[in-house]
Amino acid sequence: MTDSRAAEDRAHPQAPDGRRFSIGIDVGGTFTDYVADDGASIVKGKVPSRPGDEATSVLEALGALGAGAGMDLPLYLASIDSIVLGTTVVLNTMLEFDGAKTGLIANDGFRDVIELRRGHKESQVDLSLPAPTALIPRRLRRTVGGRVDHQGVEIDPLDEEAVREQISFLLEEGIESLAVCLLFSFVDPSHERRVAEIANEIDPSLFVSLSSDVLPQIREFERLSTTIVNAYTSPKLKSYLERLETRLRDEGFGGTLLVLQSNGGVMDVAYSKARGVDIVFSGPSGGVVAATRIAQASGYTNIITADMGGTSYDVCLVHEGEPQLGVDQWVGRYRVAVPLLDIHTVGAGGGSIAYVDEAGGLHVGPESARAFPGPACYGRGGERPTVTDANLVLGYFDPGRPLAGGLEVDAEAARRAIETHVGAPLGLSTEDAAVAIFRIANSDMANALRFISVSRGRDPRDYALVAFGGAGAIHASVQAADLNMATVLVPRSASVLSATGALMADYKVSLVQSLLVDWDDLDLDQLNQRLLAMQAEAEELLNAGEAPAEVVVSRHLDMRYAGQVQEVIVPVRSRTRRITPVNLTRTLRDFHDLHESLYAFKRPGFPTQVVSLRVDVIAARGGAAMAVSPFAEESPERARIGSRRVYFESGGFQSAEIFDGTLLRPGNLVPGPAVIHEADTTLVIAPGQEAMLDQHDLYVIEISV
Amino acid sequence: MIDSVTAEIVRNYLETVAAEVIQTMTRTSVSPIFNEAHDCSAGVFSYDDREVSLIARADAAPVHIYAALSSVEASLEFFRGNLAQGDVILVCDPYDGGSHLPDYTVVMPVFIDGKPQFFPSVRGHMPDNGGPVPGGNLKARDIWQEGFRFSPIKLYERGELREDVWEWIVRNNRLPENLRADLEAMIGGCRVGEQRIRELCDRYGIEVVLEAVRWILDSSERRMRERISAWPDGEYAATSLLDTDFAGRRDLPIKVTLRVEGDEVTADFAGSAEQTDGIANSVPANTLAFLYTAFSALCPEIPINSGFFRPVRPVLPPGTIVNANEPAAVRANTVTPGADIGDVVMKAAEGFAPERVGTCSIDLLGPWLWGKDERSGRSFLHYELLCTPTASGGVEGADGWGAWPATFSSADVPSVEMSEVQYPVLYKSGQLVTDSAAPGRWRGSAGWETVRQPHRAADQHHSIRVQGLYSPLHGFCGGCDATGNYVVIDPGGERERVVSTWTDSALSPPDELILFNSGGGGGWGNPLERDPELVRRDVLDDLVSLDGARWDYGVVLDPELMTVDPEATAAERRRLGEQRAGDRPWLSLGRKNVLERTGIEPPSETED
Repeated sequence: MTDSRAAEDRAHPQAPDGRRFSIGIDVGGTFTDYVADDGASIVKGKVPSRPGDEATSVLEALGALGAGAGMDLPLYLASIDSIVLGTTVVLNTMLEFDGAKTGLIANDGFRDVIELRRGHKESQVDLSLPAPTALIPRRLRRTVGGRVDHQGVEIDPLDEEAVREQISFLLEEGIESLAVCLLFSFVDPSHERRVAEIANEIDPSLFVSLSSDVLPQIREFERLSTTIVNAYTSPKLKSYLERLETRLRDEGFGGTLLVLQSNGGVMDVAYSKARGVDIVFSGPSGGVVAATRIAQASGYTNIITADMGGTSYDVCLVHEGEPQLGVDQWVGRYRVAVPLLDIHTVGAGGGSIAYVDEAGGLHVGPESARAFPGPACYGRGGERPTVTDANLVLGYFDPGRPLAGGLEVDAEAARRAIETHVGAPLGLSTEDAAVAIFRIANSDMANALRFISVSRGRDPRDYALVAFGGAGAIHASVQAADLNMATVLVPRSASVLSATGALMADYKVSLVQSLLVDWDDLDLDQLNQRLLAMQAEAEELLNAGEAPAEVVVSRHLDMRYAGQVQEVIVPVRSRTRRITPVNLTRTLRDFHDLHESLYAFKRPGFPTQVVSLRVDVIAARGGAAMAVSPFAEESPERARIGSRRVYFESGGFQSAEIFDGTLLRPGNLVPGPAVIHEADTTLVIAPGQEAMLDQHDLYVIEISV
Repeated sequence: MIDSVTAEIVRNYLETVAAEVIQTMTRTSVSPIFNEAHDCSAGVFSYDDREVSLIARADAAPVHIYAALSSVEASLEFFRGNLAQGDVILVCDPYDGGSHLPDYTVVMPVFIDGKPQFFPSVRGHMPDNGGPVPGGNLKARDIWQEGFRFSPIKLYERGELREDVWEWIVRNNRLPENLRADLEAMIGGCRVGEQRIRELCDRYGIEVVLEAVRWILDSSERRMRERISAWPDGEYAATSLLDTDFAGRRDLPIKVTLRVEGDEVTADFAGSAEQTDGIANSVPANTLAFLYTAFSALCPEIPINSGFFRPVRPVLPPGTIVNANEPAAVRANTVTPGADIGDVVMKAAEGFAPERVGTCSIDLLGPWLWGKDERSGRSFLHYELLCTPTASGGVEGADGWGAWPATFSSADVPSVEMSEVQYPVLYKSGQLVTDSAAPGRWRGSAGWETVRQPHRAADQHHSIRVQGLYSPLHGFCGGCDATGNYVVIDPGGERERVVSTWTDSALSPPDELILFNSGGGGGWGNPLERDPELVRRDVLDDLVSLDGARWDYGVVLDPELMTVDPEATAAERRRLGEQRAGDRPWLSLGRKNVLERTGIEPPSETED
């Protein structure tokens, strides 16, 4: 009894001033970022991540927040309404290969679908690239009789005896998780469901992942690979989330714990812990969500987001306020086909190492110095030059100012590394070698931006570039100029944008279901039935997670011309729960138009097919209030803290004005050449450009092209 | 002099352009062979008044893009003095820059300062190219019997679409609507390339870009010469045998002598078989493509462009199977003998670069099936790519894995489910075969068995071509050859028959199963030196049987505990080592199984 009393007492303490908090936390490889919103103001910060112990990183972030608010941890936790987590647990599980021991049940004759990877290899010349580590070794891939055809007609009944036999064998082998993927289960999932029932009879504690639940979509390799990733990663995620929730509750947390999903939404723990594969891009999607929201508030709906971290540069295109979904994503060396944001990654981050090849070619990345030893200028023993070292030599960092995490910079070490590994081999001065590293890194990044737009049929000039991550805004204005983009946007919270996104994201369930049908044979009633059933399923999941009852539903059809294999995702515009014949006609027209805008041609009258249905159900969470500040004077004089020699592509090294971003006010106009030091972020404004902080805490850099 | 940094930036930029071109093309084409199988490629070429150079290529079928180099050269030669901005050229003639008739190359000259200086290009294998039989005429005895042939031709002239030319081309095709759409997709890809190249030249100026191009080519050339210099001078010869020319000749030799002299290599194909009456004749574009493919795999660290190829001097004796004289038929050459050309070059390289060799080719297992799809009432033609998925070999440090070798990995293996939706077929199996991986210290990938059955197909016919059963892909440095491809019709049934070379237009009853066995890639190194622990792992995974572990690797496992018996293994390895040291060739268990299953008699060892 005393226990429950104590628990009750803990449930009631209040912040002395009655404040309630919403928290966003993004656990990254180097730092754990946090943002807290009490309705009136926003507090942000970072603590170092503890690799392998995310729960402690989260508690330390909360402890730091509590300390900042003058409260001990239990009191602070009791004052929190919600915590939204961006997590790397799933991604790390895939990189470290420490997921659950997993078995597979497949159709007789199809034991090895996972082996061929549709023929894909990561290199097209390197014969010595070894096979990817098998998440399920062949001995744990078992097959059973039973087959349905593409219309769901049963050709052979499920051999239940074989199912029992194989599952028992797998349990004896010690599996903790079971993936089930049968051919055409997206048309008729009954065989897979029966396998799950039998597994549950034999061992109710076994984690079972059915391909018809994870991704009821055509193409067996993609569905299987996705299901395997889910079965392999979910048990670990589940135990982490349960452990974390218990620790938080024990310490006094009475609010809601939510997890950021790869689709840019959030869901509760009960939902998330069975769906590891939906959480692979948890962190990166937070950045895209925040960038999208913040840019939208200031009137920009067409943007390309660019997140420059320590090891990579991640870009994503957002068209008319909608982050685009990827169709061919590989995570590590594994195909993941659930709806993920179309985030394209190149190995050009702050820690990316510069080197000269045997023929005198300079390259940057993909090898990274990571957090340890880190760039040479960290003074932790890193001897090879990185992009961060080059940026230091070029004057973008204030040598007297600590880097993120309070690290002192060692400028001499940076110069030495650049001189030894790039300057000497190329016969360049240290400064010129730093310029060379800067240019190569910029060209890699600009090519990533080109790729994500041009090869998707979009013109980068129609988009604003939103730069974030620690060093994103150092490079952004160069790339924007390179691609003839007119505007760069840098949120003031650029260094903790993923955590900010966690705070802003809404509840969201995205469901996909294949329905292969020629457009002319599409039965409107059947279509409505299917879509409504999907919507009901999504709403049920949202209800279970105690999301607000009011939802926004969006429906899409994956469509293509007969013969094509890649589909265009076409919105279905409907004002009611049902799709009307007029809506449907409009959808077909939109398909042709969308096809033309993406691929430069359309073929009205050519046979068209529907391949899959998509339903997204979103329940708004209220999100973080976006403060609107009135404009102050135009002059940025009060924030000016000096001047320094800084390198710019036009004109080389020159004197630039230096500003303390924390002193800038909305409406202040900063003409280039200038550098603005924000907390943990640096903005470089080239000559001919000008930056202004707008009323939403967003820097808008205009580029005169 | 250009600085290396700017040159590197231009190189990265052009490689992104090539990627954009192929992405645009595959996303917009309508034929599965492009958008699903990716049997196509893209590149950016330059021209400096003297020669055409490949400067950047997309990560897509390398064989195609090396051949496209010949196509761009041919189109420039053909239209010398008659090229203008806005022209779009199409090339297909094997005797004028092409490989075989269905490979179409779109070439788009980009004029800068009044001269054609760059050429974005897309090349792809069209699903149909006219002619008497869908999917190619096995009985063709000259180029005219192989389908619709045309010289390099302009689809657009000075920006104007030539409707008469388009009509003429599409009317000679069984899939006119698809062809039109696919050509549009190819041209669309090139247009993206043109736009990007112009933006690059606007930014840096044409002179800087041209200097960068020279730097890019010279840099790869320099690295290639350094690499060749490190190889010991000498003559290294090898021979591959082509099982059949589909016209009566058997075991046709493809011979190459690689002469390493200083920083250059001569690849001399003297001694290769005379050209044949059948369709298995190669032409220079195709032979060079496979020669270059092998060298690209030998030097994966060097960026590939024309500079890379400069120190490699080909000698292609005219009138042979690697350089046939017009009007020989050539339909099969992109795999037969193309694959043998790649394989034999790699085999010869074993003498000077053992640590770099491995299977870089595939061998043909090509069925076409056609008839009526009872589900729709329409006719269908199915080029069955699902049955030919494995040919990846062992290399030093890694076993073969996945489907095809890296050099062919841009071609996608189709989806079983999508194939069953698109065609009247039901797959009974598609899986690895125990004991079929070519043994080696590093083994090849295991063979792959596919069994298909017609499913609501009427009046189904098939033509099937098989190579590599009599003389499979080579093993390297003491590793075993691949186990071999074969096909069995009605396996285990009353009408069972083995297809060891080919069938032509055979009728398939509605319930008849066909089994395809794709024999994997070659092994690398002595199998008796394979880590017993790796053998044990393969046994646990059913990739190697207990018998196979002993027969091929001399590894003795306890059948109950599944542990390696070190003493018995050492003794067995000693015994096998002595036995194999003699002249008597030994057969891997997998190869033995294939010979027993098919009942064929392979050719005796050649003197090479």
